[in-house]
Amino acid sequence: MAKVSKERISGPGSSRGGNILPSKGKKPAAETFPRATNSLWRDAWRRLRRNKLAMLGLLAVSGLVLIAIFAPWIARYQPDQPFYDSSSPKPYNEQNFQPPSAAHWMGTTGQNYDLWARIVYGSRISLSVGFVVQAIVLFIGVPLGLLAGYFGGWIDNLIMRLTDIFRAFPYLLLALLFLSSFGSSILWVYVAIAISTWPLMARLVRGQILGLKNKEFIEAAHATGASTFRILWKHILPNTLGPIIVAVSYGIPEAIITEAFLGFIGVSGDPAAPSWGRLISEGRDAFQSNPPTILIFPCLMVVITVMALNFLGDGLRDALDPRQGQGSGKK
Amino acid sequence: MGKYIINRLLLLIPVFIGITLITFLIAHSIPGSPFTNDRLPEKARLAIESAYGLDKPLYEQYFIYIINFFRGDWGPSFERQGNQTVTEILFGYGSRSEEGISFWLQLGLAVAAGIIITLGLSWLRTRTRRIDLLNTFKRWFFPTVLAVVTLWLLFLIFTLDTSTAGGFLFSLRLGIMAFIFMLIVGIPLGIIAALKQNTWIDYTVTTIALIGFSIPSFVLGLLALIAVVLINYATGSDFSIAPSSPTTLDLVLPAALLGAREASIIARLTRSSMLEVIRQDYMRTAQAKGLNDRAIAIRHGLKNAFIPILTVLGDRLAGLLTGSVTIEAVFNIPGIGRYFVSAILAHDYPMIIGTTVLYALMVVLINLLVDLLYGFFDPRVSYTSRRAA
Repeated sequence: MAKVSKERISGPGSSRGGNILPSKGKKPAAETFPRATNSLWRDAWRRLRRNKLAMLGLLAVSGLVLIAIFAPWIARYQPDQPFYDSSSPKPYNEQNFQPPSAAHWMGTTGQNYDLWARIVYGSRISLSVGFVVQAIVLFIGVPLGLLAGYFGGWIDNLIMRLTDIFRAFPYLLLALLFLSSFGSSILWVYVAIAISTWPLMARLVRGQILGLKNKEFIEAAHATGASTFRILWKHILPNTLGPIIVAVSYGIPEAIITEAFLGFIGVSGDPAAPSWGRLISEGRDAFQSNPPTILIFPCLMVVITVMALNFLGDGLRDALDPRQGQGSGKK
Repeated sequence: MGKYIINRLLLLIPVFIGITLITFLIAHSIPGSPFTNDRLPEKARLAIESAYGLDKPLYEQYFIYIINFFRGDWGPSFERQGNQTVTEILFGYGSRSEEGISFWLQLGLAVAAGIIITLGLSWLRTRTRRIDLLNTFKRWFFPTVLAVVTLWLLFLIFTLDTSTAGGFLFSLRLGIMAFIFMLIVGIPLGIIAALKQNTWIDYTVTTIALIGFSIPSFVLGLLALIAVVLINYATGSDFSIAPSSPTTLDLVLPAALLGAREASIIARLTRSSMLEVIRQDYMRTAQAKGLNDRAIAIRHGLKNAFIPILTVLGDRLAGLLTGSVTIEAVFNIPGIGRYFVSAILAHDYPMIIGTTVLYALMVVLINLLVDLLYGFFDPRVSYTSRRAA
């Protein structure tokens, strides 16, 4: 029973409904809000579903994820091995750039590679960078932000000075520096991009908590004897989830852009791996005297991916933070 | 306010130490020596390394570097075999000891001009309204002086001779032009979209902004390159988009491409900020008073909507000045971004650290300026109680 009352205390105080448990169906009769049966998350999902652009983005992102997962079945050629068929009578080691054809959907590139195969496999790199980087950012930024915001004092000071330092680093430069000294394997790419973006997440979480920690429902949780960890985990964190989700959904395309640029400069990932950035760089070196499709397609893939993720991000922002999202065309 | 500034300046010290230390350590952990060369005997390499002090323990090298840094000696560039110093590459050759009035005197004159203008402005304002002259002066002093000094710096940046200038000048020009592009495109579009919400104007602006937001600047640059090649091919002309020593005019297109994404970000932000302000009670009050729409939009709306935009502007300016790496790489502009990339590939430690610290200093100073400008645009901000926020 004590548990129920605690949840009820946290409910009204936190407009962003601190309840993600679906068991909320049984509401105490005392609740009089007309929308009380809908949790924030169900509300958000409904708003998201009504947003056509966001659903389009979601569809495109799902499609890209499927392409990345089932790359071996979709690619039709090996991404890192030259193909040999009737259209490639040239000897090994010679550049072969063809415009798109029925055999090679996006044409061919480099030393007899199929561009479509390389792009399909490249989606694995780009998408994984997006998701893994944000996972690392969450892993570093959220706990540090929680600590800084909740405990204040010297902990806050220390963490904030740390974010100051990392914020002063132009973030592309830090990633570049990182990759050049620790090698350019894909693992370091994740770390390099995450290292340079976590301070934003820490600051976001800290700011959210500063606004929350003096609210009545936290006081009430204190009064019921909840431990600090429980307060942070059960009462504060769920209330900051909305902005965190929005930040992550914008962070993913940002990380993909960064990775593409690092690949374009030639410091990201295995040189043989067909990351989109590297494809763009290859395309730039050759497009002047060859079909420009070798440059256009990789660029287009980056743009489409980023755009789809941004559509989704906009939708999530509007859905999770209705106050801020008035702008999205709906009343 | 004075205490706040001193506090902020003191905070620069740990940031400076942190940045130099991290950069120093990472740069020195780059595997391989800057002087590895097949034709160079082992002994000669060691001799060169000791001549540059690279055989000393790391902490000693760090201290020597920091001391020299403040004396204006940022070290020789290893990549160019020490023929050029880092400061020469970044800032050019001794253009400071030019004929005419010195830099500091000019700065002093600019500040003086700013003070006089502030005085005049506050006098004009107090003449028509019953406000205290001293208070008005205090409020307008900082932004006006800053504006005058900025204008003078802009003039300097765009009139300096590029033949002796270093990479920093090109990056500055590029970044500033991109920033201006961002402002004059982004903010008006955002305002218009917000005022005409849910009309075709709004939809067009938001769609364009969303698309622009999704195209990374280097991809946009490449697409422009393709377009130029195709146009050249079709018309048989020989227009080059990436000259080796660009003039200001040559930088306009790269700057616009660099600023395009930022412009869409600002447009989106302006629009949502404006929409939020429009719903406020004081806007309805202004309307009820019978003010005309433009006055409401600008004086009551934009002034309040500008505060959240200002927060982002500092970050964006810093981002544009440093983010020019991408466009410099695409268009082969000899700015610092390009030097940085080549320095990394060549283990040119002094160059790497010098560039990073220069960038970082810019970021930190811009953020400081923006925080100070806050007080002007949002008088509710008080600098004494800000530590908690």
